[in-house]
Amino acid sequence: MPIEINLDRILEERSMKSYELAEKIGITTANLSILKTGKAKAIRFSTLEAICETLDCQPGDILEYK
Amino acid sequence: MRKLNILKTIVDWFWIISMLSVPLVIIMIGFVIVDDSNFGIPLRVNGILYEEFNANTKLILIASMVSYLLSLYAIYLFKNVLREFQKTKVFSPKVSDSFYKMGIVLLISALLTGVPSFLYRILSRLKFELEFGLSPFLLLLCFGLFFMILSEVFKIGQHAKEENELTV
Repeated sequence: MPIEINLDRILEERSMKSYELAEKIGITTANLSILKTGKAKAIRFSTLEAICETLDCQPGDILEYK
Repeated sequence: MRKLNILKTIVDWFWIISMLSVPLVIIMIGFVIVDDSNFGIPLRVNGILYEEFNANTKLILIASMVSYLLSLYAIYLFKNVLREFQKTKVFSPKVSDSFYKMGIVLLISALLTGVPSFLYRILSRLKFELEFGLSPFLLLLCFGLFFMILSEVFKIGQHAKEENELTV
């Protein structure tokens, strides 16, 4: 898919673990893994909003079109 | 799920009873083909009474027999689909594949039932007849096409389910 997920990089910058993020935004680690590996077919606005709020970033920082 | 269990029980019983008849029918047809006799037992297949046995009748009889076996295979596939439903695996590739196979099998079965019977009527009675109403040929044809459409519907459902599962 031409859209890449830069969640790993941002998590590393924030020194946060995947399970911590999953816990804070209220999704399962399995679903977060789907998102991180680029297997996800869609992302809900509510999830994106929660990620941006928790990681204090913009949607564009997480999603990148290549 | 109670309705599903009732349907599964009926189909299972029908399947067991049909399976019991299969060896008997095969033996009977074997005798007819080899020996040209039906031991005085009237042989009626798909509403046609076979009285004399020649090359044409034998071919029609074999076609009817294959059609019967194909119908049984369709029932077997239906049984498997119901089992999948019981496991609540409704939108699985197995279900849509089974529906597609059932459709194909029923279409072939309909053609093997309808065309030879029609030809036999013309050949044996040497007259053209028109029959109105719900014939088994038309019913099987419609069921075959319906199952093929159902397979497409289940494929769409499967796709939607997959998308839903991969939505974070």
